[in-house]
Amino acid sequence: MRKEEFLKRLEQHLVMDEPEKEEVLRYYSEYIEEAGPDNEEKVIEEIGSPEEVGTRLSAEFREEGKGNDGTWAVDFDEMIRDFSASVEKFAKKAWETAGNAVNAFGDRLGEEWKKSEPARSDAASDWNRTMQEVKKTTEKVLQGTKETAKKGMDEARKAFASLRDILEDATVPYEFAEFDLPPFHRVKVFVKNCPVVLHPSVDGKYGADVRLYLRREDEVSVTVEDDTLIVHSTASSGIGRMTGSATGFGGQAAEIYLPEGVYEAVEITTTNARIDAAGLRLADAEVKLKTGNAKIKLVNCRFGGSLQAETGNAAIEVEEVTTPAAVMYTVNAPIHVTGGSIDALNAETSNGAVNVTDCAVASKLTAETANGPVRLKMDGPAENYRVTADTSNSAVFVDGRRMGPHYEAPGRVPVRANTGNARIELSFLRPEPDEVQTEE
Amino acid sequence: MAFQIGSALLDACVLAVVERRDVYGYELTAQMRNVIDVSESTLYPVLRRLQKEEYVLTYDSPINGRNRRYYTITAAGRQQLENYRADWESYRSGIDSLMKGETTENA
Repeated sequence: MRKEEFLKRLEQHLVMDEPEKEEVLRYYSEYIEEAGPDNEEKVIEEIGSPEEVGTRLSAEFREEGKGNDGTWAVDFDEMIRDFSASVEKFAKKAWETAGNAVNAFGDRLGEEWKKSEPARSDAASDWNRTMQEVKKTTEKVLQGTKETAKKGMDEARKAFASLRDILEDATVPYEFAEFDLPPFHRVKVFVKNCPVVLHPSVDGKYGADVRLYLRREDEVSVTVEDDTLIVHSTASSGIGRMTGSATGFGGQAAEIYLPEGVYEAVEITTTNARIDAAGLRLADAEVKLKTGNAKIKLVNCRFGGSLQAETGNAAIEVEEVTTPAAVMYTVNAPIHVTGGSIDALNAETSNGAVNVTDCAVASKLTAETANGPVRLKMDGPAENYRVTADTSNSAVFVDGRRMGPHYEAPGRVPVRANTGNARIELSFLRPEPDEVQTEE
Repeated sequence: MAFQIGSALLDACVLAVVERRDVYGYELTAQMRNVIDVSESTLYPVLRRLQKEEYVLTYDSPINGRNRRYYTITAAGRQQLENYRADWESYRSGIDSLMKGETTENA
């Protein structure tokens, strides 16, 4: 049995208030997910029959509910839960949220207390006593949580200030700016926390403009040797990120100027910072771009060899790019490919969409994700493409028509689309009505 | 194993585990299972109960694109755990004496 079926059957056997049910389903959903997708069936078997679990939990809930006004108990829990959840988050936000929540909670508590007045005067005296104790304990909890939140924020402020002081004392700004370098046919950039921008050179000259914050002079080297531009920095310079600027890096950047021409390889590696390139014309070049937690964006480029773009937790955007082969990989973010011409394209992510629109694909297209839609708008008619499309919890749509979770069509260029919890949308070029007529 | 674990003792055990460090459901079940044969369906009502009594709070921590709900002990929870520990100590030593066949005239 899979998770969805287990949860569906469990829900049907839960006899309790809606919020309580949500909690139960959430607990079990997370529990099953923890085991990992490979163990899903096994862990569900271990848990046992959803009917038994549901019946058992419903019985427990009934027992707990005795001697309580059910509605009041549930709202109370929810309020405490909502309030506690906000307090646990980041210090400043928690303080603001906590402040508001304390006021709202106090008002609500007063209201509920007033509302229960008629019931209270009719009920036994120990019900009164219970409510008094509840109110007392709640106030104690609220006070304690308020104090913790404020302390947390003060500590965070102090720590941030001292860290910043240390880093400011310890770093030195560095700049290498040279716009008439000896020509090179390979580029190797290795930096950290530093955005990299590749520019087309307008005057046919080779250039590099590298600005960083260093702890030691020897942390960076920019040279041209062996026909290669090497920009190598081991400085991680968190200070760049903290001082903040338009790029969020206090002006740290590595900008390379490449005239149109033949290059063998361009390899750019950075971390936590963007890689941007626009208007490049690099014949023969195998281009490898790697970063993390930041976007890769390429516009109007031609790479004669191939393209590899890898990042995580951020999007890859490729517009009007022409290259024989491209591999794009990210997680938790979308991949957008628009226009251009990529003979063999492989785009893979998870928790994000894959959108390929009007890109001329001549030999192969593979688009993979897990929790996101795949939208392929092909620039040729349907007959050109041999399609295999698979989704597990949704459907494949072809030119707007809903198919099923699995769709195949014969053709020449293999197109493979795969996702889990979302739809696949395929659309193809329709022949113009005029053209059809003139052929007759 | 012949002996059933009562609900108060279960509450105490879960509180003790959460006191060591914040845990999420799956982790708690695994840790408890090292010692006693309980199911997650036994543990869920315990966690619910501890939450209602404000001995634990929950917070969410996203991981790998999904969510994990952690349980953390409160000041009131620590206090209650101390009470449980005292109760357990006297209960345990009482049972120990009995089982060892020691005299319980003044127990």
